Amino acid sequence: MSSSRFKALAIATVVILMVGFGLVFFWVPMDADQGFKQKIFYLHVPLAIVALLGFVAGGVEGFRHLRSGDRRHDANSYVFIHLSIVFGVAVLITGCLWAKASWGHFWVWDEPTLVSFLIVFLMYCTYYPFRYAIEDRDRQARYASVFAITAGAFVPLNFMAVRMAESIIHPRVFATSSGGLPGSMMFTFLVCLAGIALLWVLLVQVELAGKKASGTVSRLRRALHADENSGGSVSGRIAPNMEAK
Amino acid sequence: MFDAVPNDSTGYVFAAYVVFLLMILIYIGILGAKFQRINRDIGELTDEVEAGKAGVKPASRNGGTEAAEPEESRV
Repeated sequence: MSSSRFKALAIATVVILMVGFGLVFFWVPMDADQGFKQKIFYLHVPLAIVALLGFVAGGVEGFRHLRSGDRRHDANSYVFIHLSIVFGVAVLITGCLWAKASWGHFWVWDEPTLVSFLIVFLMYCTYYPFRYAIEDRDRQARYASVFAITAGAFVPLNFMAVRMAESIIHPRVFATSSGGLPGSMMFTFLVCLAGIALLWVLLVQVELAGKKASGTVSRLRRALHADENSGGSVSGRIAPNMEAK
Repeated sequence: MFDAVPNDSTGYVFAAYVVFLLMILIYIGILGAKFQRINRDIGELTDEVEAGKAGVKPASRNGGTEAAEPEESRV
């Protein structure tokens, strides 16, 4: 991504997030049922949607890596999953705060929505030790791609299972028979969703730029020190850094 | 189960947004540190190339401590 496009993306992200949060606190009406605490919805739900879609996108990139053998897709898969785990942490924290405000408890173990997200999150937390346990870089990339595809396929299946399950207290806001969100709330939600999605894309681009730069540095160092045999330590890297094969 | 529901939830709402902003700031800080390290590595490589051209053994920018820093920690 060129620096001008990168700058435009960064500005768009900040502006849309600020507009979204401005709408949340100064424009959108107070929820009749939950009151002020419902405002966490505009942060928590977009974060969850983006994190889950990021996991699925990581699986798609893993599939593309297995098909093409192009290491860039492996790096994309790694970064997508990495960022989605970070967003997942934010989902869990904001969810716990919302639960405490609404239900009086930070966590409710018999609620399928909460527990299923935790299962997905913990499953993806095993991605790092799984990946780091394999030294050979080609094998590491292949196995990580298989993990990303399998786990990525589990995400929508898990989501559907939870939607079909009988929810005890967690609200079903979208696609309810009573009509779901009113227009102003839906608009604010969509602005926040766009902002969070742009933030995810922005951070992915920054991470990938870092991986590309560190890969180039490693390659240059190896080329410079080829006769001194001092470039071997680069193979000890555990995260993909987009080096040429 | 719901007897402990707080009446005033303002603190939780602001805590959620503050936690989110803090997480983003910390993440950007980590990314910034990573890019600084890459920048330093590029500087070292540039020095080595220039020293190689001049036929002089290159001196490390960080005072020769580079060998003590394992490459694995730079992931």
